[in-house]
Amino acid sequence: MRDRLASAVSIILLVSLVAGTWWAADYAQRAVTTDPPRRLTHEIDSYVEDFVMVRSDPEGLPSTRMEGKRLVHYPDDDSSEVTQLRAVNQRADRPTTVVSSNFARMDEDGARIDMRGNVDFQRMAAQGRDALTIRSEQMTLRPDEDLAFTDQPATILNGRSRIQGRGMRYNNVTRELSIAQRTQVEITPGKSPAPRQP
Amino acid sequence: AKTDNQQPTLVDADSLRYDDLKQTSVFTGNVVLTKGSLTLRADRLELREDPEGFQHGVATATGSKLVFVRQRREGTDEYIEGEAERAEFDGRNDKIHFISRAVVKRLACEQVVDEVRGQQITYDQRAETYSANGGPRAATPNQRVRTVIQPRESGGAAQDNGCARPGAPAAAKGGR
Repeated sequence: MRDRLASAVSIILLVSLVAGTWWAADYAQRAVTTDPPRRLTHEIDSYVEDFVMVRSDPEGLPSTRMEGKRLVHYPDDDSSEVTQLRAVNQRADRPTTVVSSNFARMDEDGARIDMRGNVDFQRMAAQGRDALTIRSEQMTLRPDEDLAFTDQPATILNGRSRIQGRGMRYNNVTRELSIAQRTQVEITPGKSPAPRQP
Repeated sequence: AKTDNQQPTLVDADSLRYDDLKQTSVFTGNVVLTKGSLTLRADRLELREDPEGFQHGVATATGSKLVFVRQRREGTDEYIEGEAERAEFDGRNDKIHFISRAVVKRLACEQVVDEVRGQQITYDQRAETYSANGGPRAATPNQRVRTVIQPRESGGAAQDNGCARPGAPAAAKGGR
């Protein structure tokens, strides 16, 4: 009976030793505060001032260049807001476009830019065509598809014609401008200043 | 009307589709074009500018409506009014072609002085003359050109003394 008692005691000792070390390890683990999970709240997590940012297309050529006074980034929806944004969009086969506005909000990883505050969209003169200027209070851009559209009233200047209306949509790929409502066009007579090669 | 050429062209419409490559604009929905004394009303207007900067337009109306054009004759109180299913105007040599169910009227003091009907009528804005020919879609029952010239009062051609002064009773002239 004595050796049964001895083995029982040693087993108890071993079990308590194991429990003790397990508890000690767990206690140590809890004591170290691991990093808190990322705060996904709508608060600025990074900001840049007087920045220039260049996006390149799949072939690595610079396609969009963005400059601004101040850019702030929000982690929760990965959006950024820029003051005094100026975005230049250039593709080898298309005329360059330059857009500027007081305020802009970029999301969808820069695929969509919502611009507000005297937005000025300029498509440079190219291939004998006059420059095209679109001005509005708000405009949404999709640089990858080279699209610009707005529901606010917009004024468009092109050569000798001046177009006003709502629901403007300009596609720089097909070079087509459409106005959905209340179109007013004024074409002044005379030769247009730009060189007119066909 | 030569002075009209120096005036800006104003176009009001519901919607516009401008193709910058082909330099054409397509206006749709109660289109009203005014250029000096020329006014044009249509449902659809296609405006194109050729390399020299002359404007060419094709105006059409939907359904049974007709394109309506009105222009004042140079230096007189006379107006030319034209209607047709389709109106093409050629800015280079200032011609308006009224095509199918075409009617062109000349009005002095809002009185129809003469009227021409036919399938196609070409109005030359520079020479201020028009020529017409008949055809299956003429605005006349027998598909031929029909001209109606109103009798003038003796010696009282409208242009000489101008229209009755506004405000003076117009009882002398019959209502239209």
